[in-house]
Amino acid sequence: MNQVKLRMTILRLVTVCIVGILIYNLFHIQVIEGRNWADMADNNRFRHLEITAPRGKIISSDGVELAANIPRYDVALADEQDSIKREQAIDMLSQLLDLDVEDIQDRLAKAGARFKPAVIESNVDFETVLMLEEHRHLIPGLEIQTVPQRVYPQKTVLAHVLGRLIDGRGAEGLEYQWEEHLGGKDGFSVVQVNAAGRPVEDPVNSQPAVPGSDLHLTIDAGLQQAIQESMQRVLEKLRENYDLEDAWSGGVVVTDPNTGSVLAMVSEPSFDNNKKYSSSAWDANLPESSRVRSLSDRTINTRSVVGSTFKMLTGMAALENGHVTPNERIYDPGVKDVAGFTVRNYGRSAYGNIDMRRALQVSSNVYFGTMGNRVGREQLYEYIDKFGMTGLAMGDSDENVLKNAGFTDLSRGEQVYSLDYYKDRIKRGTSFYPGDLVQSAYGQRNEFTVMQMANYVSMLANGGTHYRPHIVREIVDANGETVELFPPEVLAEQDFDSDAVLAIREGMRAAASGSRFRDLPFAIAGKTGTAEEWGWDNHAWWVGYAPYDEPEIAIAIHLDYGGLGLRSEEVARDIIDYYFDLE
Amino acid sequence: MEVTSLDKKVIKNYNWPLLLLIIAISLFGLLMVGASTESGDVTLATLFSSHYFTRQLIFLVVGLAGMFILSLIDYNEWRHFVIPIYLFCLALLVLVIFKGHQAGGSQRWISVGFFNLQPSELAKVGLVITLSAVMAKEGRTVDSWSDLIIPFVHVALPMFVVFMQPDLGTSLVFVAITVPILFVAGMRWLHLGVLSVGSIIASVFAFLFVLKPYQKSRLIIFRDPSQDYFGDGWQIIQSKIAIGSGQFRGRGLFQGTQNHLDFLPEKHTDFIFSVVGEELGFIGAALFLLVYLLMILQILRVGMSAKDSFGRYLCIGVASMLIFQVLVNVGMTISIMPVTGIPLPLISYGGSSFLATIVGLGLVLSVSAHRDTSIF
Repeated sequence: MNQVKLRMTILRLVTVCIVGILIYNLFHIQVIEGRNWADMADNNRFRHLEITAPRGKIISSDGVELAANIPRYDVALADEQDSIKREQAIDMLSQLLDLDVEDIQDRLAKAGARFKPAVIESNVDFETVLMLEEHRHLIPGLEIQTVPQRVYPQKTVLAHVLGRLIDGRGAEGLEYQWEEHLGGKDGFSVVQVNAAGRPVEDPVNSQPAVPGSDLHLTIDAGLQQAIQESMQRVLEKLRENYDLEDAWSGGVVVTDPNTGSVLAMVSEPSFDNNKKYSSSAWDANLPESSRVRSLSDRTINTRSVVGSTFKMLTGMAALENGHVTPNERIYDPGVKDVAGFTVRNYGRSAYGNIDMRRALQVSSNVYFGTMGNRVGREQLYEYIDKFGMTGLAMGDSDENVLKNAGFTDLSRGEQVYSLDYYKDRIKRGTSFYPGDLVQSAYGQRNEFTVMQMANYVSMLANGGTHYRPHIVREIVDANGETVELFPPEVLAEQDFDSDAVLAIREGMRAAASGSRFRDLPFAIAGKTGTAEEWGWDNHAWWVGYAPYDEPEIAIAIHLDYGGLGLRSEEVARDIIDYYFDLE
Repeated sequence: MEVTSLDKKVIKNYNWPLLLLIIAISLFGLLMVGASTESGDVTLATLFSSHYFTRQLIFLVVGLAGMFILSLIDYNEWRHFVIPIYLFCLALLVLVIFKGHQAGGSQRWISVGFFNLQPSELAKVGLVITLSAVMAKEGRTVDSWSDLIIPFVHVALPMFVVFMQPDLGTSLVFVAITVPILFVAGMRWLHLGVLSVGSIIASVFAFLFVLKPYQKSRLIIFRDPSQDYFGDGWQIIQSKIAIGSGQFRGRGLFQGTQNHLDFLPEKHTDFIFSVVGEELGFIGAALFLLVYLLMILQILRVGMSAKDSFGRYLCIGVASMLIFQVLVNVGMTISIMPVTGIPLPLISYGGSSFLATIVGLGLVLSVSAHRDTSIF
């Protein structure tokens, strides 16, 4: 019996030990490690959901949505615990979407978290969504996820300026510059989910998304598109009828000379922001030359010699400084030696005794070469500065201007010379060669952007007020409240002599009275320019404003390698026709 | 049988403390079944409308009543039915292989009208009764190797059938019942040692060559459940998170998030202890285990005072059956034991397990009531 007692005691001890071991382990897990396990329990049950703020639209002055959002449909499948149901769902999806069963299983496996819906097919069309919804009862766990996607409904219209998104954030152009307003503020929601990943009650903690504000532009989308079409048509004509094989590109800016609002800024060739860069953009027909193929914005990021469109500046400098009077006549024999440089008119045409108005009308190189020699370098560059053509495009702070225009690329900024730079060049003198000043006077030396030229002609139109060119008119939040308004801003006021301005304007009116504009119901002011680039075809320029009395629009047109400036008049006419609703 | 005098002695010797412990633990189990299936603002009304709660309540009432009646009958009466009991259990075990319903890759239960009978649960208590009777037979010794043949064959037969279901856990319960009975019956230390070493070798062999892949994976995954986080490891990790997150004081009854958000698998059956740990914390879980220990020690104490060796073996068998299942079940929930599908006796939802356990406890109460001398 003692033996039994001993062995029973051993059994009791073993029993006590077993319970002891269990309690010891419980103590370790619950008391010592408890906090960690509690955190893991929270990780299990709380899911942090990002709520993407709806992005603000970009809207033109004529109410066209240039950047908008459309829903993108993604087909997702939540993993089912029940393997039979899961296989059924995978089978159905593979049939309906025409996918391999293995592919679907792969995507489910890669989803990571259990029961977290895995995207099976991204960006399906609406018909597919409807078709799947019809079969929903056969696809347990089917989820159609709606993801907002940025689109540019007008495709190539204003593409250079609008910019693009990368990973949902503005990365270029207006999308980048105005990200703060367009992007809004993302919200979040913390929900408690069950093991199947389904929310079980109202969010524990949440912050609603603040929708982005809309950007209202000064750009007139209809005008923008009309210009784009006109340019394409004219360029094609130049290539086919005039053998100008490099005439593929150009830039046009239209502004309101009374406010500085940019009504259109068109750069050709354009591209479609909806497409990825890789599969971009470039027209397969474009010539190989990188100058032609470049997609940089030709209204603001490239500069070019401007030809005779510069002559009004020389004229202003000469008149205001008393080097000539409006009515003084100068003899133009067609070819003349000025300060040791032989100046030739186009076609060596001789115009006889001509005054300022007539010189502008016939675009006399002899007359303006003579004026240049009278004015001198220093005064000439002062007028370049007065017309705001020494800043990148226009104005005191390049960065502000760029921001408003939506541009980030400052790389060209270094090449834009300040007045000090010019003065320094004058002081050193050595960098000039014979004829430099004379050629400068009729526009064959200095390079400017289309935007600068539009501003220049605006100032002639309004008598000397330099408005800051701007393209954002107003920022309006999701409730329709104005966040910020951009009224016209005067950067500088040049107190031009009214007689001088009048003489220049009359010259421009005469220059724009040819057959192209004769049948207009009102007079306009204009000037062509044919700029020479060594080794290439000439550039065609046209600047002007309309109507002559009480100007409403100022125009600058540049067709790269477009030959004679005259060729760009067709584009100018199209602009005026569209804007004033003629035809 | 003289009923009046019998009753007097039975009442005088009746082990009321043990009865109270059993009732208390069973009621606690009922509550936990309710907690693992209902959540939030739980009232008595919601509990009584709960499917699992009401069924378990029925098992509990029927079981406890049956246990009390059973405890009044002299346990020695059962010695007459050893062979029928043994054959009945064996027959059911064989039947379940052919007619049974699947659970976790093996044949576990037979549908009998209103509830699903798990023969392996009945076989546990059946083995306790029949093996005790075999070992208590007059003149039975366990001195030599040949003495061990009869008990070995007796156990091996049902164990083999259970193993073929395959139900590894239950077949190990059979071993856990047998060894302590033989041990107290006087098995030699040498034999015990040899058999221990032998069974370790056999286990390794079985693991390598006999077990199916799902059994193997379940056996080893508990050492590193993150290996198969979303598969076999899932329930182990979730159970450990549940218990650990209960910390010292617990989340509160009906408030466990792992439980009610369904992160816990099989939470009203095999993993019910995870709910105990999560909702009642270390304090509740440890207290529960100590009360359970008290009950088992009380059973062993009854065994010590039994009037004959049959009674003693019955108590040892029941106690061993309970402590082994507690070890494996609770150990599984805190991943110090592999997942084997063994329920927590008296606590886990399920009629078969509860009734089989309660029959065993009824026999123990009978042993206590029918002893010769008072131990108090």
